[in-house]
Amino acid sequence: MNGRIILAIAQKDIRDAIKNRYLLVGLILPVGMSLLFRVLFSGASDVATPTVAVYDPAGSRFTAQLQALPQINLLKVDSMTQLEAQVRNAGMAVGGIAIPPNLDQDIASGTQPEITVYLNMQKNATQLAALRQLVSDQVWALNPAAEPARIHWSDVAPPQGSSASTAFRIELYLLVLFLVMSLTMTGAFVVPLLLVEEKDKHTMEFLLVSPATPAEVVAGKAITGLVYSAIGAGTMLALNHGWAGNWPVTFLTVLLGALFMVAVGLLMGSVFQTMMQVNTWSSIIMLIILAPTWFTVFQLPPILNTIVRLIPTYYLADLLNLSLSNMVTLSTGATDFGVLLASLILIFGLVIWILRRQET
Amino acid sequence: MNTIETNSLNRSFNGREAVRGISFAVEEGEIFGLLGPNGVGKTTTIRMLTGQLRPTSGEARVAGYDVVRQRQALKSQIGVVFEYQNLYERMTGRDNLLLAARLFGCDTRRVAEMLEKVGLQERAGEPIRSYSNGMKQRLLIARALIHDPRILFLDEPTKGLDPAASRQIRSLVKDLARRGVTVLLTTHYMEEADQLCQRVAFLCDGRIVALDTSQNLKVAHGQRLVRAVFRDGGERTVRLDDPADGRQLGEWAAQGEIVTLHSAEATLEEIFIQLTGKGLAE
Repeated sequence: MNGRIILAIAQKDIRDAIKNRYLLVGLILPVGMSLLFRVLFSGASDVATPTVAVYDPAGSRFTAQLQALPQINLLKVDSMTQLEAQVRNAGMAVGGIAIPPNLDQDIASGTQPEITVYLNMQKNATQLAALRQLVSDQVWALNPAAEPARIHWSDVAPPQGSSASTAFRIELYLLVLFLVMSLTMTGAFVVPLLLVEEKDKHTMEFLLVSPATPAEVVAGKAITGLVYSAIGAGTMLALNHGWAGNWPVTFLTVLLGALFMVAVGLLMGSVFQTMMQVNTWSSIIMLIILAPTWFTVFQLPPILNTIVRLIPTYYLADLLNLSLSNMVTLSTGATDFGVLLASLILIFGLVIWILRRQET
Repeated sequence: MNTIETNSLNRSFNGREAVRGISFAVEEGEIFGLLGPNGVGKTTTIRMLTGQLRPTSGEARVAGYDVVRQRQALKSQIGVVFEYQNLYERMTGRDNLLLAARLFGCDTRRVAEMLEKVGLQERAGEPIRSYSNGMKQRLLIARALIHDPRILFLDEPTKGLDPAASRQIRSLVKDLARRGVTVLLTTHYMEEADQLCQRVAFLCDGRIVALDTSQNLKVAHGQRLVRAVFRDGGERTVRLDDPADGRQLGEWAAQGEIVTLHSAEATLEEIFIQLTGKGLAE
């Protein structure tokens, strides 16, 4: 691999792509739509760190432990009535935790006290799942050798006609949707077009009689895709408070997502020969890739849920949801991260295999 | 010294033989033409010689490199002008050459030099889509020469060009050969081959049916004829190989009856038809 050649191809494509109307639309559309929806939902609240209310009259070690966590804002309340109000009526908190008065002593004596966790069902499913995981992890952390306390989960149904937190959920949902759409448009539409246009206009033959190898041409296209993904996703995150939440994880997730989508695009570009094929197939492929993003926050029937989980974008959207709502932990994010990484390696492997076959 | 050598080169596509056992050699600094109508295997031969296509069997060496095993090393020795004008249309002429210079790792000052050489320096900042076909063809030649290759492959270099643009291209090719660049060109314009090439090979159905200098082909396959035009407007064709015809021609000339004499030797196109039974437009 020759870095000079790869950069020459990438530089050419980065400058040339913005002169191509098709590519330009592919790059700008998701950012434009995100801006439009931001204007439409301008009154909506931030994707800030979620609040968890806690009632702990004795001041336990568990509360101190929760307070130290950066993923949540802990709101201490003085009574059960206030706790319920936070979860039910005002609707600010994702959940509320009621801690018995003698928690620390009971754990020490091994009597397994009961902690009650109220889940605000108005909040999105990802946040609630993350809260469940977080509370379980923290309870086990009190005594990793044996289950220190039992957890009683109590779903708090939303009051009739309430829409207190709907705006928040939609904004996060749309941010994730448009982020994934931006990565998909760049990866699964722009990248294959860059490759197939070279074949269609016979400029690929010029590149291949120059010192460039097929692998270097593909690497140049991959860099172009990553640069445009970074610009698209970066703009979208900047415009939508993407730094809120766990930004290092968000950054890593976007990078993984961009790499995955670029790999998909390279695979398409290696298989397809004409612009017509890309235009026809990329819409179908993009629909399939984007489908899980639409459903991450909804309860789906089991069969649909299984199908959606077969598509790696499900895990990308889930990880983005978790990181943007600052609910990501090792246990909640590990599966998403692992599946994404494995899919990425698999598709890049396929691309390399196809390239080697073409070179021989 | 031969810079291009092929030995029983074959190429099939899905069982159909496009090139069948082609063998020829091209000397350094020679302009060599592969002639024939569309679809006889000219472009396939060029694609094999430039490392773009693997031969099904046979071997070829270009600039001393095996076109299959040493394909990557071969690239710096050759320049290729393709049949289609495969330039980056949205980019300027200068940017197209800059890209080529960067890919070949040569000094980017060569770009200005090449633009001047092909007379495009004034239009270098304009996008390719505003160029005429002749300008694009000149830029393609400049791009193929940016790294100063030893061998230039030209696939139908004047196809679709007007006579003035064709003349410019032919002049550029002659100039290159004078400077020692070996040129292998394909064409179905026999006049062009006659003017440019030191030797030509006739291709028909993937095979070479004749290979020699134009002159030798004409002598071998044509007749030595002269067409005389008389004062009274009449015309007579005279066979130079016939002593009686020769004497008669001398007498007419002495009596001042002849207005003009025209060579009536066979053209390359006529010889091609004679050898293959096919026209060049087929």
